[in-house]
Amino acid sequence: MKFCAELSDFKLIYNVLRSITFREYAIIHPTEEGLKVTVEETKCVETSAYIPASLFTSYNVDTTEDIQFKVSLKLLTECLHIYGDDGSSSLKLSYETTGSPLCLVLKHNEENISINCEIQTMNTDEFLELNISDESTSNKIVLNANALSEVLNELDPTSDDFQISISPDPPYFRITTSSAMGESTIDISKNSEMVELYECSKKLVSTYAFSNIKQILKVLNLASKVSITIGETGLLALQLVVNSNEMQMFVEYYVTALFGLD
Amino acid sequence: MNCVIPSGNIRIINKALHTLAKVGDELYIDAKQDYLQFATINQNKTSYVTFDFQSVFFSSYEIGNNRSVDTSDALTCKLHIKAMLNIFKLKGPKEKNIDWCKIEFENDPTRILLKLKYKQDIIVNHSIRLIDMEYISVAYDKDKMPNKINTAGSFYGQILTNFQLSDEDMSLEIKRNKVTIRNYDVASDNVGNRIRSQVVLNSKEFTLYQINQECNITMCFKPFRAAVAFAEAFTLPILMNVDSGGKPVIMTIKNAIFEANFILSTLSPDGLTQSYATSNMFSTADKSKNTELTKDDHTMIENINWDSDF
Repeated sequence: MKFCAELSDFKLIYNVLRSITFREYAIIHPTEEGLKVTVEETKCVETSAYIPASLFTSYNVDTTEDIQFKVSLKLLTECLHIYGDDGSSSLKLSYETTGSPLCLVLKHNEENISINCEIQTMNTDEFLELNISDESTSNKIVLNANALSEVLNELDPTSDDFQISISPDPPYFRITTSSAMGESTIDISKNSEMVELYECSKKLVSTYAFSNIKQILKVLNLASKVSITIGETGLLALQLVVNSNEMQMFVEYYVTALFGLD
Repeated sequence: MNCVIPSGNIRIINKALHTLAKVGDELYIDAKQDYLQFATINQNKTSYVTFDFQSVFFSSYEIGNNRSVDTSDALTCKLHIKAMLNIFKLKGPKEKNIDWCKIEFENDPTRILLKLKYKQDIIVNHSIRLIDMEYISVAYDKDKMPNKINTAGSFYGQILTNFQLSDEDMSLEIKRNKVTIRNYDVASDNVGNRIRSQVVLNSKEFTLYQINQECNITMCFKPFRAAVAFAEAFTLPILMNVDSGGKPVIMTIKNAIFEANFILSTLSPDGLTQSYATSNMFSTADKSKNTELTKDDHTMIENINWDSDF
């Protein structure tokens, strides 16, 4: 058995996984610290959800080798929601060996029902793992995610560009978007109540596609805290903390800057 | 133009914009000397809705006089209502987080600026592109209209629960002692298979019931629903000013700081043409009204054929 884990409450995990289902397939990577689910798109957007091992009631992983496989995330989330919203259920996940399916046993806690699901797995293709630690960074901003998602939801959903400017001087943190209907700017002062940490030594301006940013807004609605870092080449890294009932998990989001502007 | 909406009144602006969006796609902002008007007209120009916000509604209200080149006494601009809706999304707690909202129309004649200041030291600027202006002039005098009916918005809300959302036209038969509201036209011989509903209301149900001329009118449900929803949200009464079939109905909702008028055209009694007096009063309505009618006729005919084939 390469990987086997049990969970008693997976509502939070279901919500997070559903909000990152931008593409059909995800790469599942169980490690000693926890389960990592990665969704990647055209080598420029990468979203990973981390489910810490401590959230599981039991968690066993074969540490002798690196385990990675690809499954349909859509199917996986559908299976997790098989009992609908009502009632509590527990989940057992297992993965025998390379090429075998991912087995899910979902047990309803009140009715005496248990459902077995097998999801076919695939070998992973080579994928580029974006990482902010490879780049030199000079900034880090930690914000209250609720307040940020509130202002970002105000933006025109048909916007094309999303420009972030971080600077050590006023207006500090600025987001500019443009769409056919007009432009919007959001200025957040470093002294704002929603800012928990503001580190910036050098002004950086970088532009992203709004359609990419829109994906993460869904997760931002669930999150309580968000950390924003921009690398030297314009790689934007968001780290989100999602909390519910003393359970905590993380989502990491990377997007590369639009090329050839400025 | 430069006006600031205080935190407490943002809810009103928000509701007003959502009500306008139910009727039309474009928003006309008209800055008059002592009030700011938001207006919209629907696509076939049968409904015209205005919201007038008195200058006391704003914490500061200024209209620049430097635009003396423009001899008209008002500043008007037109924009896509969707652009405003994004900014004022219906959200309860969010409205409380906003300190004020400023509407600016100054240096750049192609843009209107909206500035929102949040309590958490966030400033959001929206610059919205204006679209080509087209003047609409709707002249009416509701004081001269012979019939007036006034009652609470929630009363109409209860009546509306008796009708389906799919009902398009409502007809009102106004008599000296009662009103009958139907979702079908008594005169038409359209035998549809849908539900026919009628509600009879005694004149005593109304706070004001002043009928000088009995009449039959048929108008569209959609803007009526929008008006009722708005009145219910602020527990305000709706005053209906009715003339006769074919002439517009004006529904007025007002309180001390704002006034909303819903001008809705009605079908003329013969069901085919729009009477002349109406086209004078509601100049933009006449042509499209006719085309809409013929479309209606077509669907009516189609419906009947479909039934007999079955």
